[in-house]
Amino acid sequence: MNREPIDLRAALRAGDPALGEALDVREVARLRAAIEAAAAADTPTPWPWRAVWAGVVLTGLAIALGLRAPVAPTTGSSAALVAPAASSNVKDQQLQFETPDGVRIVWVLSPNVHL
Amino acid sequence: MLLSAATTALAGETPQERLGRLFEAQHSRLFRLALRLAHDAEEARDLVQEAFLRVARRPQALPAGERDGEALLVRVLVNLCHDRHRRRAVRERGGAPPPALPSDAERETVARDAVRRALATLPARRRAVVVMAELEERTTDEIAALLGIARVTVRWHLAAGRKALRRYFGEEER
Repeated sequence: MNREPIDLRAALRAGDPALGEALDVREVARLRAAIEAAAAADTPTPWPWRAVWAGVVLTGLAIALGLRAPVAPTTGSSAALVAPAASSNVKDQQLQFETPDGVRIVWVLSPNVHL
Repeated sequence: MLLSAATTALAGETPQERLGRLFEAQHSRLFRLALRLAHDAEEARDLVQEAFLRVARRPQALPAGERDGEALLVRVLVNLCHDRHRRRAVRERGGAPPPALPSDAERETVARDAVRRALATLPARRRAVVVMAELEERTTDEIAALLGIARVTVRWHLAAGRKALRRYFGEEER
């Protein structure tokens, strides 16, 4: 039994829910007023991403500088002071990345630092 | 005045002015789309209002170009439809099937209800793709840009949507 294929576009158009419908002037005015009110209302302050990222960068720098600062030797000998520097042939490594806001962050990883 | 009727992108305009321009340019078109996606005209009005209000609450996030603004509104509208469709599906799960239309009802109303019910069987995004392709006669590229999806996804939704609707109308005719 053959059935004729359905003309989908014609079927949809015949019952198009938007046919002859439109917002009337009063509805448009009410909608406009609601949007104006929403746009004029105080928008919540966005989360301070810049300040947060600046804090992260400063903290990272402080940690990096703190790690690089000379540590007082526990033995008190002058040999102990120079030993790490003398044996340090490995260079520091840097890890650089950038936040979506464009803040560049540099992490310095020093294998010569012993905690 | 906050809402101006300018239709082209203006340099240096505030987000509020941009929103006003977008409202003037898009509210009718968005309402027509909402009518085709929503359960009824009342829901379509709600959807249009909610879509504009969501954009209005963050006017600084409104893109400068008119096409991008239109795309943002369409995506918000389709997402709202999706949420409502999901909530309604949960409410109606296990409930009675929709009542059959009376056979002697007015032809236009019957046809409109049939199309609404047919479209309501599709998920929100697929419904939007079918409506834009079949009723608004938009190209695949346009639909992809408006919904922010790949062209292949548009074609896939369209094929699946057409198949589902043909099956629906075929069963209705029997």
